[in-house]
Amino acid sequence: MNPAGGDRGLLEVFLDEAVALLARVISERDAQGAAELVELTGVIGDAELAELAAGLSAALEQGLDPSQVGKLVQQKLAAILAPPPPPSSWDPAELAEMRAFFLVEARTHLAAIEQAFLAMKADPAAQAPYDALFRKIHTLKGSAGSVDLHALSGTAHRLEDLLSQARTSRDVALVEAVGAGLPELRRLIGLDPEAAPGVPGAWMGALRSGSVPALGVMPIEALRMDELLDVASELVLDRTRIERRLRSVEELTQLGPDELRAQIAELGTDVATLARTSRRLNERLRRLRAVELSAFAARLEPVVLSAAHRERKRVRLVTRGASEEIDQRLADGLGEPLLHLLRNAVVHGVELPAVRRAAGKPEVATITLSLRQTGDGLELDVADDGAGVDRDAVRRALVLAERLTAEEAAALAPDALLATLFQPGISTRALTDDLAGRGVGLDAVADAIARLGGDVTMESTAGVGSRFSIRLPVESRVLEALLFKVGDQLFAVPSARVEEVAEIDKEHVSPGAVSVRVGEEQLPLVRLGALLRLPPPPGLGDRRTALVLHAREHRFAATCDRVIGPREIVVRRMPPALGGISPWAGATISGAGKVQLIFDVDALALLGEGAPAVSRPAQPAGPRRILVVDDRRSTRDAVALVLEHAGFTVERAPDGWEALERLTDRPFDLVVCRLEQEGLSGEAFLSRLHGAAHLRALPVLVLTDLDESAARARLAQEPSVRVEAIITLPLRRRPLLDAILAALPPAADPTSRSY
Amino acid sequence: MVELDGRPRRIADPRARPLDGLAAVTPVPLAPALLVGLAQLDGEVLPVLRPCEDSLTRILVHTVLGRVILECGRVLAESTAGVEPLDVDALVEGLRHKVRG
Repeated sequence: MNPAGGDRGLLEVFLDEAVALLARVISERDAQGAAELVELTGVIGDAELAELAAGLSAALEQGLDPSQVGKLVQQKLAAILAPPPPPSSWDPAELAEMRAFFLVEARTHLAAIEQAFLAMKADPAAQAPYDALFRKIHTLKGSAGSVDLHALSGTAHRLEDLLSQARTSRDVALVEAVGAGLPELRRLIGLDPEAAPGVPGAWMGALRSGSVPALGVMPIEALRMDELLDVASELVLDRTRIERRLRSVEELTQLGPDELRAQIAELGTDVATLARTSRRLNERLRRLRAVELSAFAARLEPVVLSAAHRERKRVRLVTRGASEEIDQRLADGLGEPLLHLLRNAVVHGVELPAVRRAAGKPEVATITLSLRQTGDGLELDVADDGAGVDRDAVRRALVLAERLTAEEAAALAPDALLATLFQPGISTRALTDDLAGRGVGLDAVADAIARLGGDVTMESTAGVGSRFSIRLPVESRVLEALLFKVGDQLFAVPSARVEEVAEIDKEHVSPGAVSVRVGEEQLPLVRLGALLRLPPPPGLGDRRTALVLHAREHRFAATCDRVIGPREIVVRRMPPALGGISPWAGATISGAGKVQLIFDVDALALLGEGAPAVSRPAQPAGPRRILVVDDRRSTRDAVALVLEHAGFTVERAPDGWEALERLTDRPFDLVVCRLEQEGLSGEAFLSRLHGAAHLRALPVLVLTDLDESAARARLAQEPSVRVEAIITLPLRRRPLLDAILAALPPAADPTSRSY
Repeated sequence: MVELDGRPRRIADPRARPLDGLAAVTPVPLAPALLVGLAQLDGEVLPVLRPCEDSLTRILVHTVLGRVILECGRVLAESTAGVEPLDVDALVEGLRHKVRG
């Protein structure tokens, strides 16, 4: 039986009983009554009501204040008890058309409502924001009612009621209830079709599932914007081609008649006009596809409020750079990782009000979401003023996972310790069980950001808070860049990052130099030719060109072979398979149709610091050298970490091809190789390794997901391969070290050698 | 069906097609060896991968991570019986993991 489906007389009996029961549950905080209410709503057959009742029951069981959820149950009951909507006065086809128009308009209304809500929360004492929000919700209600969307107009009506009470009482709980109701509006407008109905249950569900509502733009509109943006980009390319042709003609007609020169001059004027037009078109189209951070934050704020409510914490979300814009495609991709970070900030970073009070902090914690344009990308920070990461707990987690001994974990540098939180090998369970700080899902966060072509870093201070910094490349757009050559290859760097182009003597940038004097300043040096392994063209002479670049952390000089000059280029994102590839921010297509790479200056600065030509310290002669070959970063890093702490010198190769190159370049005492690798498989790599006469005796340990017998059977397919031991995963520190010590000849053995 | 290191392999993507007249491939320094470089096709920047030691033919393949170009040996006559498939999705996913490392 489903009374909600038809038998209204019986339904009213059940509903009356539910209303009475609800009053008792709220007034007496009666958990048993709440359980009965859940059963009764199951009989009534309304899923939304049942979910709200379940939420009420859960709140009572956990000792939480049931009044907010209770009000929502009450409103839902009232809505069901209300008489059915009058028959529509619209013709069905006409109504469908009107609704289509309304839903487009409703998205605009909703964006305005979400922003008005944020304004109200920012200044709860002021009257004007309440009035503005009320007017906007009222408009939405009226429009929805006019096209017979009664559920939507009813929800808007209930929000009006809540807002009226909040306006009078300034009750924070009521303000938060209004905020918690906004996702329901989104769902009814069709912007969040995945969310289950019911507030705040639906939003709590979204929290659990890790989903975030999509932005308020129809997919078809986004597609059209993409197409237009592509056309505008092509316009820039066309212009580039014309400019190139113009330069060629100019060169050919240096001695031509005056009239021809005059025509060329006019052509030049036309090109300049085309340049202005295309730039304006591109910029306007880009802005059409952009959303302001404030609108983006409005979607995320309910997550913060709901999580805080559940955790019995008090939190406010502050946005900085609220008027800064972010491309919608980036915003959609950022939803999930930001949800993780915000939830972690509330659950694991922010302290309970009493704890904060005892620590001399305001009871209301602050989570700050800030956005900044950097000239060649975006920087988005999520910071909280909570307890910071409990580093001892991270060390315990590493030891529990058998990554490190207690001594090794204690010796790990603070930055390296925080970096381990982004590794998938660190068990989420161990972290959530043992950590008072963060860690949950950070590997997923890093992965999602990398898919967008960016990266994420973290800093944390005990008792002060934590900050996650996300760097993202620009979407397809026009960028002022400086073009230059290294070897025969052309590269670009954002002009906004170039401070100076300097000529310096060749001997000042000879191999081994780690810094160079430019003017009055000694700057870290990156020799691009050496870093990229691109030999200089012949006939360079005694002078070299250095680009003085500013990265996030510091300024540095990068040598190149020839500067081509400034150009306006259309930035293309790297293909998804290459998201996060270092040190590249993207690519552009030349007038001749060739791809040119654009440097990520921040990533380049980091590479430079570790590059052989820049600052890598000489390797000590003593420690044994081990090459770890594994295409899975987590295992590769874990093995290297264990070995480095055991005193070995370790190099890491992400695939067999690179490993073979390294083995050719320098000697090693042992190789640790993953069997299951994409591209060149482990056994194929070992076959090539043992096929080389000078490497035939090099000891090898194999890592594998298989059991030992299966791995041996697979290795038997390559008769030339010989391995000292097979280590089955998951990784355990002691067996790995035992196997390596057994495989290596004793250090004092005069016959021991490197291969 | 294509040849990789002398062995026939089947590409499951029905839209896969050989490419003629592809613009120059731009090398990507510091990238894994699997990535030969980047090329432009219809205004899109695509990765060019070489999963074997051959570079006789370039094939455009659609994967879960977008279109890629594979360099491989000869394109063979259509005959899929008993031929080992080439999992291009796994190849590309492997590349993605490598560049992140």
